[in-house]
Amino acid sequence: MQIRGDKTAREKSRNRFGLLIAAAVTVTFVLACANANAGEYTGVGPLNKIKGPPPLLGGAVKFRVDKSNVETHKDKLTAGLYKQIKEWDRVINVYDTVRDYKPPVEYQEATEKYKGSARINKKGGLENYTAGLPFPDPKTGIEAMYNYEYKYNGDDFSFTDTDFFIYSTTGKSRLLKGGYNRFAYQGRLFLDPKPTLQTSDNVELKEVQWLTYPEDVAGLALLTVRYQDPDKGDDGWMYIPSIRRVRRISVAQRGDSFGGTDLTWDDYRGFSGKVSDYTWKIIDKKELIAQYHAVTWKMRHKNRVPFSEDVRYELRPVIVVEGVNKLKDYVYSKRIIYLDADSWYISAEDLYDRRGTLWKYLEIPWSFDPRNHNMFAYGYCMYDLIGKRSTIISIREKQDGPLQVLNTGLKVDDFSPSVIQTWGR
Amino acid sequence: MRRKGNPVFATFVTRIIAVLFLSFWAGESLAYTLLDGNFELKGFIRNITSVRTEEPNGGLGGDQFKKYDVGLTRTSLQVEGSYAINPDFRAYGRWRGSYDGTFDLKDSQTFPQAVEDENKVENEFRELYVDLRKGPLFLRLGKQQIVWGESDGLRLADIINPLDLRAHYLLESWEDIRIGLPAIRSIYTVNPKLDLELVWVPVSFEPTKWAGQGMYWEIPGLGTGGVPEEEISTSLRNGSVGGKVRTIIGSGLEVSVYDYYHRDEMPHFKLGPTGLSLAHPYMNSIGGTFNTNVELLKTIFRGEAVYNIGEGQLDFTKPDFISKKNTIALMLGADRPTYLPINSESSLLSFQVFYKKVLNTDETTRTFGDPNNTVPEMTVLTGYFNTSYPHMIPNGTLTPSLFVAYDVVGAWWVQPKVSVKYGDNWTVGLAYNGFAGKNNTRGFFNPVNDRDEVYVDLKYSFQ
Repeated sequence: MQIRGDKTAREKSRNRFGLLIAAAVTVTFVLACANANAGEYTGVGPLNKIKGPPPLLGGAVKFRVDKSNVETHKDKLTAGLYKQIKEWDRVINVYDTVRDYKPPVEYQEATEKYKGSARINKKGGLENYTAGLPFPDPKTGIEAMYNYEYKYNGDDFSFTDTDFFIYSTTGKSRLLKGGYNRFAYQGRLFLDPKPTLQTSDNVELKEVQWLTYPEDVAGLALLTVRYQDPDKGDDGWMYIPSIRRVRRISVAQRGDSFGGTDLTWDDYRGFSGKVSDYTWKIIDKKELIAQYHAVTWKMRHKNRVPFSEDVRYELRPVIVVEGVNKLKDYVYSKRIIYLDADSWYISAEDLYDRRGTLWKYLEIPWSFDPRNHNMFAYGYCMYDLIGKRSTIISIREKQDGPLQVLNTGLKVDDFSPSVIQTWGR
Repeated sequence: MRRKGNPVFATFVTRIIAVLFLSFWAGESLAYTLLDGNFELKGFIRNITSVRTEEPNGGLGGDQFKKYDVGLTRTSLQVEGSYAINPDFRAYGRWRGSYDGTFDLKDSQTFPQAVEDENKVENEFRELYVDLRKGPLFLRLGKQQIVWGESDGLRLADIINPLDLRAHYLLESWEDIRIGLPAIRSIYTVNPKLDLELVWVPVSFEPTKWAGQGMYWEIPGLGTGGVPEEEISTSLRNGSVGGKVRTIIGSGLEVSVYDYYHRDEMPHFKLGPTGLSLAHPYMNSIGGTFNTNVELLKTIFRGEAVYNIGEGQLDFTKPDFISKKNTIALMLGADRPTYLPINSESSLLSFQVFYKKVLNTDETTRTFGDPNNTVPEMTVLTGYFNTSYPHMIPNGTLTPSLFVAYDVVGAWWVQPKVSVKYGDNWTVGLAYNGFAGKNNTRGFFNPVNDRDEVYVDLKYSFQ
């Protein structure tokens, strides 16, 4: 005859044993993981073992532009920078021009090999592109913008530890911190599969943007999937920590402010919208006074603008492209993008509101890093010329690791809605 | 007669003041990071104070609070820390301590001592877990919140963690009222479009917590002082387990299917040898979700469907008052961001329809928490509007929103809200919760139809 107490004791014993087994398995697993990942994580790419920012470029100030002489240099300034110098009392220091940009040999060879094969279809999509610069001699605005899209930027690209200083009209600032990962499906030259990771839905690229500060947005992450098909808009998933789930979002929201800054999601990195969502035209080719190279990596800023002595301007050859979004109610009526003719990166941008009034001005201080052929941006500055405020983004200094990295072997599996969910709480 | 202060209260206030002092002293950007940035500490101090704006109309709880009485004044300190041992091994903890001053504002006879002891002071780790990654496998072990589903405002697939409705009903962010459970969650990413998830809550069951006797959000019969909860031991036999498969079909239709075997967190009156208790019988929930972006309409569509096998219903003709029936529940939602000529940001318009039906009911089956209700169906419509003004206030963002939920039997809930985020640290919210319905216990809005309130939510975040 079973005794009730014995049965309860046996149950307790089974429960304890089960828990013991579970604990042992867990501890073993934990130890295995810890050992497997002990040590420095370096990725698998060949060009990733870079520490710290590029070397600084010295030199003397060639001339200054300020309120007193801005009219003399007006034709070499963007509309936004001209307005800033006149109305915000900015002073800019112009140095000698140094044209040192050179993409990696593999990229140059791919450009030559596939020259003439890429083309624009009737819907504004890019066809028959394999690798390299798609249009070495662009004739149209959209060709110039696909050069921007497919400039050398690595098979994958990542930066972390980025600070966004958001300046209000009163000169007070608040802070946002975050990072960015990008995975290219096309034009891959260093990491397998090369040159294309082919998928049934023809993905062009995936990127993740995330925030780590302040407390109420920490853990927010946006996954964007961009397709080659011009008729297929971006897919977006956002992990929102306060609701603990991933929410599908619409591309129509890309005109919204990024984290309360003066940038929209489409302004990220200069321009991160879909090229075929716009009508483009080349409106000029000229020399422009634009930020290039660095005199310091600790760009100081106060009262909405960086310190003049911390920013270096040069006279740069640019291609000026006007872009109008095909959505009638898009936040900007047009963008004027100044593309650096050497690297195809965006040097500066003027943005106009829905009434056609000059609204914002963006400038990006680039510096070429010959160690990995990366165009290193040590900050982004977006100025709201109507609201008289700004967002200044600076890359936080790290002593023991690279600040922006290419070709580290990011895994395509990490760009999925469930994975971005696991990064947060 | 007001209660006198006590050492716990004094200690709590002292701690709050200390944290405030440290927060301001540390300057504009308070960052607690140690160990080369691998350890982070952050949190907030928060006070929510609500005032009743309608006289009680009798019968369903909360009557001790008259018009203009403070229904809630709760101050909380939440601290969360995370430590990344390496990129694939992270530990995380979130602790919260709270003090509800409502108990000091009311006469000592308003609440049983047990209710005050349970609710006045909170001191617990709401979550405490480790994250492990090994290639495509992710494991989260420990006390955590696990959220499935696509719904806002009501829950179909969000069934793993119960809710704490004691202090402020379901009127707060669910992250703050979802009860963490010790669980093992594993997600295996087969490829970017396919992952498999297993969830096991091995030994713990917790029901949804209801306001106790005398509290503002009391529902008669529930909570401390009401019908007692059936005792459910901590045992592997009382665990829950389930799994989900999620995939993206083609280039944009995301679907998932799941099965979760669990106890029902909602209470069911049960007549047993020792009398009446609140039971939580097991049920099996088999369901699915979807979401997709329809570009032509610039709209995100999302939905859920669940088939619950053996969900308990009230039936006084049954020996234990419980009749197990199968139910189906559906949700269809649409989110449409749009630019309105009121600001430069997109505004979000969102709509949902919820439908639930109890299948094969008998004449004696009573549904949806109402002992007088025999209607086997429930339909609720919700609408939500939200926009933001990032620069209307210097150094701040203004966010107005409006949420409306309507139960087609004639009950509804409306919540207009305005919040301001100022600088890095401060958030202030002002909201109104209005309810309407009948004096019965059917659904979520009827029982609280007279408990309209206005509340202020003041929060200081630090990191």
